[in-house]
Amino acid sequence: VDHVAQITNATVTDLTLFDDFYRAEYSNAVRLAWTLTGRKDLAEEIAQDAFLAAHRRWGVVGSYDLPGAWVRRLVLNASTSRRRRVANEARVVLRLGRERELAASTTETIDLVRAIRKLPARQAQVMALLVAEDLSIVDIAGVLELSEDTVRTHLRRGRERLTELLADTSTDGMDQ
Amino acid sequence: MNDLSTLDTRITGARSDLRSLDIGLPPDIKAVRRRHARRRNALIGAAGLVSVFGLMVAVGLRRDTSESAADPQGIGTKIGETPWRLMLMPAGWTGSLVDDDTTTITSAEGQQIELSAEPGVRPPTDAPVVVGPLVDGYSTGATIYVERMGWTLEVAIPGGGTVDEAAAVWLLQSIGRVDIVAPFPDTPLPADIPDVVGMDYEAATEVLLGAGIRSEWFRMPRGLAPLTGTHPVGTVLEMRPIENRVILNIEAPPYELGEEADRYVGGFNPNLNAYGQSRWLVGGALPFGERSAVPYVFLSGEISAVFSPQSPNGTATIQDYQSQLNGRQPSEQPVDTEQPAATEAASAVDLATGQTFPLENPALSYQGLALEGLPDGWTLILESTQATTNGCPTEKAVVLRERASIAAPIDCTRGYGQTLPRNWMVIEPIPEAISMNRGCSLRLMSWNPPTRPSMQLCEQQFSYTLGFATEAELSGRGQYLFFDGVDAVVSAGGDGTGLALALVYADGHSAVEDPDENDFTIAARRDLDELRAGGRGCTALVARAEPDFDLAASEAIGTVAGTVFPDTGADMVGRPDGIEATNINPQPDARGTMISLKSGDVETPYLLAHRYVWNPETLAGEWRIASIERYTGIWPPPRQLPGRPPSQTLPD
Repeated sequence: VDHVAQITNATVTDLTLFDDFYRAEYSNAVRLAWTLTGRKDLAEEIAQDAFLAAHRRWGVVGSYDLPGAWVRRLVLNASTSRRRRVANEARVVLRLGRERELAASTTETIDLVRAIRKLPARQAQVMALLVAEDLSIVDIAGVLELSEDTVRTHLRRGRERLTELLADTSTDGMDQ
Repeated sequence: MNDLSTLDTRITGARSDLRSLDIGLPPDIKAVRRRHARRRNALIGAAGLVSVFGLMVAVGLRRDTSESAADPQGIGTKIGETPWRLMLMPAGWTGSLVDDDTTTITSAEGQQIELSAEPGVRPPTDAPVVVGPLVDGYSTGATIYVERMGWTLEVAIPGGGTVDEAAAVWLLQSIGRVDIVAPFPDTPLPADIPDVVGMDYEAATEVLLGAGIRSEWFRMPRGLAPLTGTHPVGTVLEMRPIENRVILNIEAPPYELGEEADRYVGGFNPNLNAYGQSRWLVGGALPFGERSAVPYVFLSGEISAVFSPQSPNGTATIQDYQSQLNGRQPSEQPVDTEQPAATEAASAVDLATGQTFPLENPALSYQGLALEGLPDGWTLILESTQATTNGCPTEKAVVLRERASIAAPIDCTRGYGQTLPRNWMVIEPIPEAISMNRGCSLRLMSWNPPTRPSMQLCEQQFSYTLGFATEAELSGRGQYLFFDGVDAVVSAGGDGTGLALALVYADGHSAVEDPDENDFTIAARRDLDELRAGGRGCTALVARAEPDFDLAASEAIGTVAGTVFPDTGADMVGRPDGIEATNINPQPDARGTMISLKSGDVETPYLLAHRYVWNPETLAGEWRIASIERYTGIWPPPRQLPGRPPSQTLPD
């Protein structure tokens, strides 16, 4: 499960290894983007763009200690950027009842990732990496290039805020 | 079970749930690349800038064997369909080759559009060549003379070459169209369209014009290219009104291109096959409804001439991509081009110190300078020196200096191997035969991407929250801080008593020492392309305070600034002691946004001037910071309390 470590151990500089890297990481990247954007098509697009960027710069990216972290950072940044842009569109989609969000997931999962998307961007990124990727604090810090203390701070705040948001959701549900 | 425990349980469940989702296999990266290129290129047509500026032509190369079949309408020119193309660019755009299959064109405003070729397709060996108008061409034996802006470009075709002179003229013609392409009239065709079958195409043009139909003639070997007098054209054979356009087939003699003659013969008849024997005319509107000049994309076909700037006299290599298309190696035919002696010395450019490159770029263009490798961002010009000589073609003309405190301390190695002092850029003549104007074109050379200055600003709102520093870990050098979407680095002075703020593009990599005059550490730096790829829209400036907090001294060495980012969604973590920056509300100066940098008791106001620019990436206009200057008005501004008029009475 620790693909980051795997990639770390294999300092990938050979272009031919990109395909392996791509296949191994693609679904993780989509899942991560999905968690933050809530749209599968958008998540796939973001993930593909990130891997395309990696492919183009593979000579450099492949030599990084953490090429997977590099891609994740692109995915996180793009997801954060795009989620604002698509917010209005998403509202329309919701109104039209054509939401494609996590169609295969449970209601609890949907509520959770929706709550994550309501967090401030950095907190959302940290929580997404925790939930979707199951990364440790050390790995999250590596991906986001933050200190572990900073990650802990965001994690703490994010969890606190999530509990509030989920409690609100639960209350709303009961009200209904 | 408390709330956090419940949350952890839900996270565990969600993690498992997400893992069970069927994401599917990743698509082939080549397909991703094609889609990406199409998506990016599609933005070009929507930019809507071409109608504003004069048009130039940059050379790209198109090659797509499947296009004809995939394009039953036959025009083959929809933007985004082909990986390479001749494309029209507004004046001020420059192109540079990023890697083997990617060219980035950059506007004067710093906007970038990336054009990518299919993997394995060989792009032009240099950046798109911006050329001047090609007035006419003629040949004598094996030599072709092409007149361009008062020049005569002599193209000598080597004996026994596989590309004949007519083809070479066509090549030059193809890459040389500069006259402004007038848009087709956005009106329906008249009901009565004169019958021009049997007429020479030029006569047909006149007749149609008399009937109120503006017509453009194109040759269609594998795309759209304008017909001009140098092209052999013939008689209108057929006339087919189709809705809001008329398509005419025109008899024309074939081109002779040696062994590949069968591939280049004739034109393009969309309703028959990709390599029909006819040419056609489109009047009224193009088939895809492109009625403005913007989407006119002139495809270069299978061969193109690439001019090398490395040669003092210029050389052009005619590359036969059709051969490559058929599985053979490109046949490259060197074409010697001789450039007549410059008749007019290039003028030195007096760029305004303190202005940004984008703002000064028109001045460069006016002087006949092509700015290649335009630095990204709102880079202020600190210094502009006169040329050591104005003579063409080899001496540098103008030296510009970036803000010394910002650019990464990496040697700026010029394209020819000469090492320049960092942060200096050289404008020098373009030695190759094709020039923009004035007979002695110059262009800015050798902007080395790693030395891009970190002054890119791209804000979308007027309202900002400004802030510096955070909690973060201050350990010797390197205090890291971040905001939402904008990362920054603060590095401490050597003794740890002062702060030097170097706010960089984004979260970066290893620290870079800046041992020169600035004496601070840039602890993070990030390539702008990466930032954009990562969706980062905004970056920052640099602020610096010496250990004694002498802001005036800091300013004197050019380290002004602050972080600027939208106040929405900001996630600022902490503040340092002693330095702060805030936005001022209400703004006392309508020219821009006021900010104040405060360090200890010293508060320094700055004015951020804005410009509204078009962002082709978002297809929307946005405000950007155009300049930063020290505010000289009344400071601090008088505070205004909302809702309370000034008191008119004296207190008791």
